[in-house]
Amino acid sequence: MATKMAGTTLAEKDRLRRHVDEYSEVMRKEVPCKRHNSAFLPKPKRLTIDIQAESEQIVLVLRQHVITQTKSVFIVVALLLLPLLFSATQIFSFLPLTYRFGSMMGWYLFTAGFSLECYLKWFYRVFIVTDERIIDVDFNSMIYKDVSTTKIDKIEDITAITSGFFSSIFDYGTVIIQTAGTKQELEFEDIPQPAKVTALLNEMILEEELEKFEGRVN
Amino acid sequence: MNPLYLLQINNGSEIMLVVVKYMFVLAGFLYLLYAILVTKQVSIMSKTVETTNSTQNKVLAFVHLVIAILILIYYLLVL
Repeated sequence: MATKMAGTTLAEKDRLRRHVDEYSEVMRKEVPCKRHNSAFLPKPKRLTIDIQAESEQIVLVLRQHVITQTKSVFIVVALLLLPLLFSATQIFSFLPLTYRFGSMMGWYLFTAGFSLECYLKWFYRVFIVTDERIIDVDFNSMIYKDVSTTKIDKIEDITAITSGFFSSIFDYGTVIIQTAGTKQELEFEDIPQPAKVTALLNEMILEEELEKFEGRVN
Repeated sequence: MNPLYLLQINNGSEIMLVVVKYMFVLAGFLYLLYAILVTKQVSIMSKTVETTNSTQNKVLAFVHLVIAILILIYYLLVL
């Protein structure tokens, strides 16, 4: 079987690769998602990444759980209500009306910019599991982007941590992945359903080992 | 607004308003640079992670940029 597989072309090897539903109990229960606005996206349709290989399938896309953005929501609400406080106290009554209107517009523009930044940071900070790799796209600020990838077969250890009252209620936590690659640790922070993600990664590690054993690996 | 009106300032309150106006203009200009950066980053990130929301995000960033430009124009011409 190994000798036969040694002469196998790339196209044939792609054909031999199994779809995630064939080997993953976790993904078999999940319905492919079409909308990309949530934090847990199993088998997403029409979602691609620029470093994705042609035959590579995206199995799962994760973002931080929506509840972790509550602090940003409160800040935005406070920013929206602050001008009402100033107009009630008449602090800036010495300025002409055009200046007060201009400052209010500027303040709401700043609030809109802050909201947009919070949303974009949440939206584009993704953890992607493909059938070959795991990819961590960190978008910590508007001027800082970090993309880390590691192959599934380089994973050495997976730890899921759920701590805290809200984490337990809303089922989110951190999955830490120890790898044998250059970047020794990848962290999926505050992701939904960390136990399910851990189970999926374990299934994928087993599939990678099976692929190597059967000679189906690229 | 003709900037030469600076030569016709008669009292302290007008000086203060001119200073405040140009502080607004400076803040508006710096914010415009930030809005341009956001628009550029959204475009780059949409290429990194292409989703069905990419167009929506680009539109949001563009509208934000346009509003920043309009507010800067207001600060320059109306204040």
